[in-house]
Amino acid sequence: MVMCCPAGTRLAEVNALAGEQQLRFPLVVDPAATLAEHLAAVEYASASARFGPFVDNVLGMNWRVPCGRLVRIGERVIKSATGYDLNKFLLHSDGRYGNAVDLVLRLRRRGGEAVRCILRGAHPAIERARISLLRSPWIHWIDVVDLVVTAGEPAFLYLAADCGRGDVAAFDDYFRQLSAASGTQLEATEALDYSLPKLSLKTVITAAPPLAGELVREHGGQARVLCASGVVHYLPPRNLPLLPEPTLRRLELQCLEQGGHSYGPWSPRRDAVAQESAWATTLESAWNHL
Amino acid sequence: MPPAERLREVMPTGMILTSPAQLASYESDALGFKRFRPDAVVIPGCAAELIGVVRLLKDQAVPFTLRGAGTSLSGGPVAAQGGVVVHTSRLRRIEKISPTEMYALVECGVVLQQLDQALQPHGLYYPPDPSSAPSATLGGNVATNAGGAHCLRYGVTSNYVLGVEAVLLDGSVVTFGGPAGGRGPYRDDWKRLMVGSEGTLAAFTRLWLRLIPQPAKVWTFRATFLGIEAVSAAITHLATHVSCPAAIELMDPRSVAMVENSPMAVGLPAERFMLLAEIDGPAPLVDHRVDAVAAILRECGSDDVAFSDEPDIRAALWKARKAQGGLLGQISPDFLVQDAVIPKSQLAEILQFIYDEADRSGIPVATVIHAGDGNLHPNFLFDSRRPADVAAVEGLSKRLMRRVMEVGGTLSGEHGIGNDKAMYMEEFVGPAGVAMQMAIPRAFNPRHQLNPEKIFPERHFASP
Ligand SMILES: Cc1cc2nc3c(=O)[nH]c(=O)nc-3n(C[C@H](O)[C@H](O)[C@H](O)COP(=O)(O)OP(=O)(O)OC[C@H]3O[C@@H](n4cnc5c(N)ncnc54)[C@H](O)[C@@H]3O)c2cc1C
Repeated sequence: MVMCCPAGTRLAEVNALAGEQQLRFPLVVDPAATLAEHLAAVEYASASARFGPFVDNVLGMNWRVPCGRLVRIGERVIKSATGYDLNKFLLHSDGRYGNAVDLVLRLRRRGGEAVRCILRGAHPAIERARISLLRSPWIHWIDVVDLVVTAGEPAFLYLAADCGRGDVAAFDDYFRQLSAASGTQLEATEALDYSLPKLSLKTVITAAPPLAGELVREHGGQARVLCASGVVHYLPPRNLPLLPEPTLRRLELQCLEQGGHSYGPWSPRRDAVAQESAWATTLESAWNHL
Repeated sequence: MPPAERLREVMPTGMILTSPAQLASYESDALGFKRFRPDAVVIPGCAAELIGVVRLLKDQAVPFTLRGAGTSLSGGPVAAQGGVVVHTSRLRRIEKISPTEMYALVECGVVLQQLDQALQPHGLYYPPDPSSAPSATLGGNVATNAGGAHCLRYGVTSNYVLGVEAVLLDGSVVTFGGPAGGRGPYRDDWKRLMVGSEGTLAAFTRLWLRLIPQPAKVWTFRATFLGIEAVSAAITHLATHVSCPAAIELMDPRSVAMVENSPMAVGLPAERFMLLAEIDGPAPLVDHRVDAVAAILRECGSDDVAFSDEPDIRAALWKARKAQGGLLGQISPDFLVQDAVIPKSQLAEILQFIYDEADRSGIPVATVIHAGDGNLHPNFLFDSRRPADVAAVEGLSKRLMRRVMEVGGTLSGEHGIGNDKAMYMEEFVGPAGVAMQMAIPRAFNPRHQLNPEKIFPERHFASP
C-alpha cells in the first residue's frame, strides 16, 4: 500500500492512480495542487485527524541536496527504526537542505462511500459537539473534523468520513446523535472546496479555535481549524496581500509558547537561534559536500 | 580523579555503583550475549541530577550511555567502550495528564505500563505497545522509536511524540516541541531527529506525548492455517479490509510447536501458522464487521476460527503469542531476535529463506511477525559459549539482512540498530547516506562521547 511518484504530481492524479487499486492518499488540501506545493504550504490536512501529518504518511524520498546529488532517504516499507529519521526532519525544511524529487506515499484503503455533514448552531453548541467528538472513539474513524470560521458568517463544524457501504448507517446515526446531544443542527453536504492556505498555525487543540476566531474577526477571510490536530489554516480575503509583520509575529509567538509554530508562505522568516545555527551549519556543510 | 569519585560531588550516596557484582547486571541489554562492563553506573533521582551528571561526565571526557530498563534487543544501552552507564529508572514521575489538550508530560524513566494505568481512568490511550511494556521506559521507547502489535493501525512512538526536553553535551537543556507538538522556538524540527536516535544525540529528561481516546470495543480473532500461501492471502485481505485491523500478528509453525511443547500449551494444532487479528471501534461500527472478518479467515483456509469481545476469552486467544517470548529464554541459553521489515508481498519467500538458511546452519529458529506491517522477528536460538554457534548466527543474520535489502525492506522496524546491526548500515544507506546520517551526531555529539559505537560502527569515542 505504497506509491512512488514525483514531487510535481498533483494530488488528483495521485488519487486517480491509487483509486484503481481501491486505495487513496487521504491528505489532500487542494486536489489541483502538487505534492511539492502541499509540502511547502501545509504540514497537516483535514484527514490528519485520522492519519496524522504529512510526515507520517510520506515514507521515503529521493532528495536532491544543494550540491546537486540525489540521495535516497527513508523507506519503502511502512515502519522503520533504522538510523536517524532524516525523512521527517527534511520533509518540511523549506528548501534549506535541498528538495524532494520523488516521494514514497503511504496509501490507505478507500472505503468507497463518503458520509459528510455540517453542524450549525450557537458557539456553545458547536463547542459541545467539537469537544464531544474529540473525546469519542469515533474520532479514530472520521477523516475530517474541521471548524470553519468565515468572516461575517456563523462558524460551523464540517465532518466527513470515508467508509464502507455497510458503515454508512452507523455514521449517519452517530452524526445525528452528536447533533442532538450538542444542540446543533445537522445538514447533509457535498465535499467543501478548499485551497492551500497562506498561513498555518500549529498549537494545542484548545487554543486553535480562538486563534482562528481572532484572525478572521480582525482580518476577514476564512480560517479552518483542523480540530484534532490543533492546526489553523488561514485563507485571507482576496484584497489582503499580506498580514502585517507584527501580527504574524504575535500569532507565531502565541504558538511558540505552547511548543508550536507557524508555517506556510506568510509565516514570518525565522532565523536559526544561535545554538541552532551551529547545528544547521554542521548539517549544511556535510550535506553540501557529499 | 576517576569519574565515580567526581560523580559523588553531584550525587547522593548509594546512587553510584562500582562493585563488580553491581556492574554485572548492566553488562548487557536483552540481547544478552554481547557483554560490556561499565566502569560505573549512576542513578540520578531527578532531572536536575541528570543534568549535573551529564555536565560532569562531559568535562571528565569519559564515554557514557543512557539506560532505561535495559530491555533493548539491539545492544543499545550498553557501555560498548566502557565508561559510565546513566540509569534513568528513578525519573519516573508522570507530571501531567491533560484530558483537554490530550497529552501527557512524563519523566523519561516512567515505565510504559505505569502510563497506561494512569490513563485508564481518563478514558485516554497511548497506543505504542511494545511487549516489554511492563518494564520498558518511555525514554527508551522514544530513543528506539518503539512499536508493537497495535502500531499497524495506530502508528509507532514517533507518531505520538509532541516534545522532548533534553540535556545536550554542551550542558544546555533544550525543549524541542512541547504540548503543541510543533517546533517551538526553533526554525527546524529537531525533535524528529531525537526520536529514534538511540541515546546518541542527547539525554532525554522529559517527554510530551500525544494521547487519543481509548477504543470503545475490541474483537480478537485467532485462526490457524496449514500453509504460508493461505495465511499470506488472509493477511493481505485483512490489511485492506474496511475494518482496518489494529493488529495482525503471525506465529510460524515452529513458534506454535514451541508453545505447544511447553507448560503454556493452549491446544493449537501443531505444524500450523497461527494468525491473530484485532479490530476495534465504536460498537455500531465494529460489531457488524465481525462476521466479515471471520469469513475472510475461513475463506483463506482456516477451519478453526475463534473470536470474542470478552476480555477473558480475548486474553486466552492471545496467550500463545504472549507466551512465546518468555519461552525462548527457557529453552535456549541465548537468542538473537532480528527485526527487519519487508514488503508484505515478500513474506512467503523471506520466511522460506530464513528456514533454509537456519536449517543449513544448524540453528533452530522460531519466527513471530507483526504481519500487518511486514515486521519480522525470527528468533535464532543458540549457545554463545560455543564460538561456532555465534559465527553461525552472525552469518545467518548477515545473509538475512542482505536479502531484506534486496527485496526493498529495512534493517529494523522497532528495535533500533544499536551495536548489533551497525555493521549493515553502510551497505543499507550507501556512502552518501552514511555521510548524510553521520552529520547528525557531528552536530550534537561530535566526539561520540554519548553512546559510542551504536548505529554506525565508526562512531568511536577518542578522548582528547
Ligand atoms: C520481552 C521483550 C519484548 C519486546 N517487545 C518489543 C516490541 O514489541 N516492540 C518494540 O519496539 N520493542 C520491543 N522490545 C525491545 C525494547 O523493549 C524496546 O526497544 C524499548 O523501547 C526499550 O526501552 P528501555 O527502557 O528498556 O530502554 P533501554 O533498553 O534501556 O535503552 C534503549 C535505547 O534508548 C536509549 N535511552 C534510554 N533512555 C534514554 C534517555 N532518557 N535519553 C536518551 N536515550 C535513552 C539507550 O541509550 C538505548 O540506546 C522488547 C524487548 C523485550 C525484552
